[in-house]
Amino acid sequence: MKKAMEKLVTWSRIKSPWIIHFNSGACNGCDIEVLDALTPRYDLERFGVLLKGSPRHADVMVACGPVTRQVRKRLVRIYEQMAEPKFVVAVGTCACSGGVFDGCYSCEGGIDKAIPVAAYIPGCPVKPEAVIDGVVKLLTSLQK
Amino acid sequence: MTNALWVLPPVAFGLYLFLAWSLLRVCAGGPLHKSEAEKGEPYACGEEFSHAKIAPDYSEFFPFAIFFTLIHVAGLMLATLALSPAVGGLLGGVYLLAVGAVLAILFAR
Repeated sequence: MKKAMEKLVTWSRIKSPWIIHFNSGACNGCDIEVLDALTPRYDLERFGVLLKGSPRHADVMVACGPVTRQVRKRLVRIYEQMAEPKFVVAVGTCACSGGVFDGCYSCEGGIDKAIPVAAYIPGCPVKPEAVIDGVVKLLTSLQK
Repeated sequence: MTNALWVLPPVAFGLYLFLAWSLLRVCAGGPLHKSEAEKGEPYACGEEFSHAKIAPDYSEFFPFAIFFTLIHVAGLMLATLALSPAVGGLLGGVYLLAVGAVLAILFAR
């Protein structure tokens, strides 16, 4: 029963993963690139990837920037409010490892210091092509 | 006849209600459900939401809301009743009464 249910949910989510975009302290460079990937030039939406405003409607959290001390609690709270199964994609060098902010008094490091991360997309800022590649790889890994 | 039964609004509504309830039962209590501390908390962009009781008063808008809602429905029904003269008389009277009621509510305030 559990296996069959997981298969059904995964199949349906792969066809149309809905994302929530979260900036945990980024410089906005990666945020702009994420939006670029979603808007008509690259148009991730044609594959069913939709940007949602609420974590309760989202399957994937696209997180940019290092985790600042101020935002950590909010990041965890929003992550917990997402429905299962949920995945986090760390977009940009700062989200992957803390980047230039690593060791800064106000930062804790990459996103994985606060919540589990399923895919890392490095770059400063990331290219939309890299975001698309990361999303495809995540969906392919889910299929397996 | 059998087909017509399934598409009757109350029957279809009941079926969909049962379907939605079944999905809720399967998903909420299913194996994928995990209970986390903040799972059921209201979403407030990550901020802590204080559970204050908010009760905005919309009573001032009520007469306008009911007037516009009923007058649109009644207008549509009265305009299309001529298409079915068999039920036109009684139903037309009911809708005219409804129009009278909403006008009374609107002007009595």
